[in-house]
Amino acid sequence: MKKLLKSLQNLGVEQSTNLDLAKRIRLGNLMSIAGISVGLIVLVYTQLSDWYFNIKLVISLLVASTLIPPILNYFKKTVASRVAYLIICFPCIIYPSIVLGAAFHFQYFLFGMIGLPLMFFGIDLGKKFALWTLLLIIVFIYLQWHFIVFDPLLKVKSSNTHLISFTNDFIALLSIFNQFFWLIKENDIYVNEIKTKSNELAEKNIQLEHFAYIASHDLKEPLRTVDSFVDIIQEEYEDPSNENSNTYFIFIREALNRMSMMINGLLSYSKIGKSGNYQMVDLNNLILEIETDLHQLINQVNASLQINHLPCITCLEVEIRQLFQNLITNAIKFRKEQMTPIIEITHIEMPNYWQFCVADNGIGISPQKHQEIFQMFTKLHLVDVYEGYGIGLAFCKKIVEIHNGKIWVESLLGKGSRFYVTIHKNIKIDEKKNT
Amino acid sequence: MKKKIRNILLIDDSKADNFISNRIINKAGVAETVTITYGAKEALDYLCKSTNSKFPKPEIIFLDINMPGMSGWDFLEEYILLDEAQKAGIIVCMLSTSSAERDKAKANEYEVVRHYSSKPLTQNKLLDIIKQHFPDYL
Repeated sequence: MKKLLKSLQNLGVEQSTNLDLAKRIRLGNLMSIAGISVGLIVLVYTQLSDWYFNIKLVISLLVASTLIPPILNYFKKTVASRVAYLIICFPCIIYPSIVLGAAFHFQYFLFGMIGLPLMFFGIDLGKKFALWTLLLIIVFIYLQWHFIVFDPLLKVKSSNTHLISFTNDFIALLSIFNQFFWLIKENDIYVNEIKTKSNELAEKNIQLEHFAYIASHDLKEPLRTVDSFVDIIQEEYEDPSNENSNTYFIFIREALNRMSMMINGLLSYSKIGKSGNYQMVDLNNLILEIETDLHQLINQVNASLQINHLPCITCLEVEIRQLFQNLITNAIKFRKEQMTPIIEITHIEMPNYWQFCVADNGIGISPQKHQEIFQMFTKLHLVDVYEGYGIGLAFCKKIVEIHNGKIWVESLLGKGSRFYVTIHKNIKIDEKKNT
Repeated sequence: MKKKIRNILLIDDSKADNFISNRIINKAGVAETVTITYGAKEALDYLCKSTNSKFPKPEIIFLDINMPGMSGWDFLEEYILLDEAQKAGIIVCMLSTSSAERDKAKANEYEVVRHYSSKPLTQNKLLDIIKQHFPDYL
């Protein structure tokens, strides 16, 4: 008996079915089995009573229809099976209501059906679920209207009316309770899943940061060894008359330098955000300091820096200085030939954040490259034309992200660039620093 | 020509680094012998082993900090506990450039560490150390 029940319950469940779907299919089967059992009792009862033949016929058909969902499951039509269950529920509720009238409370089963689609198909049904609820309400209102206008088809003189209506109420309420219980349980599973996922993500991020640090840190040692031995080889075996070997050494040196710079870049990148605490920084002073640091470069190309009055913001000073310094040096570096670079720094205050703009009249960036430029080691130009390692904007991106902000660029090739940066306002000033 | 340093001890797990240091010292011609060890344990054993009731007592130890197993710091902890008769002249901590700042501060906590230098050892660095700590040897 138990075995039979189990195999009936597992109709349509395959080994490859995932657990979530299997749970829903089993639920559908279980509810069908319950429906069939009740249907058989009703069938026996009605066949024994002296009702009209037509009523007996319809009831028999309704009972027979409850077999449809398990049969569909048997043929692996698991979605159709559950949809069929939902459809069959309507005649099974409407028909006894019309036949027996309002007093037996069959109409209240409609409310017991509200949560069924959620149990059958999961909680992300969206609009479909709203339509389902609306359909139930319409059917209920129709039945109420029907009860007022038409008499029941059968006038059952039964002393058990109250008992039956009470039982029906109880079953309807129980199924509502059951649905809530199910949904809460399901919700818990989802929430826990999300929590675990986000914890994992945070963990992965920390690991990744640490990885960049360790990798770059440990890569330096072997590189240094190679460097030392290249020195030794050059010292012991270099033949000044052999032009080839000189070229080889130059290439080796260049590659070593480049690798060393890249490793250092990675290392500094992994250290961004660890320079100190958040504090109030007057950006006007900060930019002035950057100007002083860069005055040689600025004078050399005769660049003009136009700075409108900037606010004081809460930030990591070292990082924000690096951010603006990178943007300004980029603006100077990627200038147009035969053109004085003009760099303008402006800002807008938004309710939650500051938005800064560093605009230049340089060579610009084609729109296809607007995302790419913020990635580590991305260069758009040959080293011979514009030297560098492609790390400046990657640094900027990380710095801005640490300040809960965004960085993006508006630019066309040959039309100058406008780099936008947002910095969130609600970064609390570190109390340790102030006391 | 002034007298040479009698004995310099190298402690580094990296054969390549020991080779480079050894080469630099030999090229500079400042030491009579260079003793190479590949770990803190081996170095401590060397310092404690007496021949004819005399301990090796090298004048300079070049100590690598970042070693697997027993690190340079572990070595220093054990070294402090040695007899005066077993201790060396000075200890120079060899720091890898990437972690120099943090390690420098820690090296300062050890009185026995008289000098630190970044890897790799070069002739200039070596001569600086000798000039500073053994002025009459050059």
